[in-house]
Amino acid sequence: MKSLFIRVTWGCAALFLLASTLAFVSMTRSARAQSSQSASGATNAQVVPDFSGFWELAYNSRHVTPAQLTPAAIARDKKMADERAAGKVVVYASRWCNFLGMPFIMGQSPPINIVQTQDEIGIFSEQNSAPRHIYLDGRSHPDAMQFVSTTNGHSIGHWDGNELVVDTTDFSSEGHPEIPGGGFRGTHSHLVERFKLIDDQHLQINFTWDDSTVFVKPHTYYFVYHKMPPGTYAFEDSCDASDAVPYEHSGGVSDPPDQWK
Amino acid sequence: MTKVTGPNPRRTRTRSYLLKRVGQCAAVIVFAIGSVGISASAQSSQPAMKGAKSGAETPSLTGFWVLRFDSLNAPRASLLPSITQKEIDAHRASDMYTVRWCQYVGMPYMMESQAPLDILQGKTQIVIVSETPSAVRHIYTDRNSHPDPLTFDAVRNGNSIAHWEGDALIVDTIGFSDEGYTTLPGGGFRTPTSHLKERYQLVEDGKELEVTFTWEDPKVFAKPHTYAFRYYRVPRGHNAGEDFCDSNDQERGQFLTQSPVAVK
Repeated sequence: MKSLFIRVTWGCAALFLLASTLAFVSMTRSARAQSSQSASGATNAQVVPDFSGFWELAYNSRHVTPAQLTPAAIARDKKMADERAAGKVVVYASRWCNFLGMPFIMGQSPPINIVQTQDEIGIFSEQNSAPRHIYLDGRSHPDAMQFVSTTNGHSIGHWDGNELVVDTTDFSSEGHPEIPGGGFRGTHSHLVERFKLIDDQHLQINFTWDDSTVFVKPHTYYFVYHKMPPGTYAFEDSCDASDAVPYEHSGGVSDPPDQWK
Repeated sequence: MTKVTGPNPRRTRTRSYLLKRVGQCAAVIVFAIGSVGISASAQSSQPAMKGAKSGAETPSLTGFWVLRFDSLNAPRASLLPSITQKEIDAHRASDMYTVRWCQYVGMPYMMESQAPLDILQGKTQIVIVSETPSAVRHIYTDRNSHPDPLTFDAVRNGNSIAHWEGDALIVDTIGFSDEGYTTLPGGGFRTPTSHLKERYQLVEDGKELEVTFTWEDPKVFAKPHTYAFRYYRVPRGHNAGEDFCDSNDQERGQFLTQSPVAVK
């Protein structure tokens, strides 16, 4: 009996120790995960809004006020208006099937498609454009020496509560650089966007452009996107620069040289 | 000495003590196992983001993937006898025209991009992004049928739907157009009657992604044409670029369309 008592006592002690260790490890892991969430604001374990899906603009979606432009930007806009009045193809990128880029692709009638993963959000337009890559893995913007500026720029995002804040730099001036409300994207441009779900059917994005060569003060506007139904699929808006007819039809010029036809 | 009658006090005490200890042990063990279970459950129910396909459910193909010198295994395709060299040459000329005019290249050429492909595995679709001028591939995982051909405009990437078979993603694509870069690795070309089946499978501990392509087309192939690519995972931190293309760049156009001058 004494032997049994000793064996049971030691057995219980061992089990108690094992169970306590398991419980401690479990609680420590849980606490670490929670502190990690609150520290970075965008970690593996965080439950964040889901922007995935197809989103389109409606007739009343664009909330744009006139930008306050620098004299140089006003002169550029006037030159563009004069060329348009003279019947020239104003947007070179559209005529020659260049990537259109930001902010054009966010403001058109075809829907945008958002695919969200832990480390990256992709935004895809049916327009002729490269996709947007918004990195959420905590990286910084790349060194200018190691990144060739692009029409969509380089975007990094972080979560601020239920809002996604996206910071974009490293823009090129190519593509379709016109900004709603006036002004244009250039190599000095800096864009901050805030993505927020109004409800599960509406996504609001606030755009704030900053560029001292273009704007007297940061220019802000916002769009409200409507979610498209499940089963929506993407189209391809292919562009053929060798086809001059649509441009002539719309009053444009700049036929492709004969030798390339 | 008084003889104790009835239950032996020591035996009774020992029995109840043992029962008490066993009960305590059981309680602690249940608590510990419960804690571990709850913690594990909490972690598994907190995926990357709400609604995302958890990595525990299916393999994650998300990330940048690049081809290497040893990535392509493309045997020669068995073409129908009716396919003439003239027809093959016409497709090659069309491919060059596509490149010359900065048109979207489409499938399968976009999968041969020398820059890394970016794969984003979302809740209801997987997207494959190439830096080569091309529309992105949308591979829908939330539906099991293709759209009605009467309402779907054929495109260079076709319409892709997919499902998981174990660890492999099986992708089925139809609805191709004959535009873009149509020549296939190993021979043959994409047409509106093409049907592509792909299998995506992680290998080498997830460091590599093997994609097997099988093309069927009653107007091109004598038998299904299968080839495979093996992509290598790009280390984290890669920044996607843009293959900016200007079709009005005359110097570029000359390079692409004029015969190179022989080196003497």
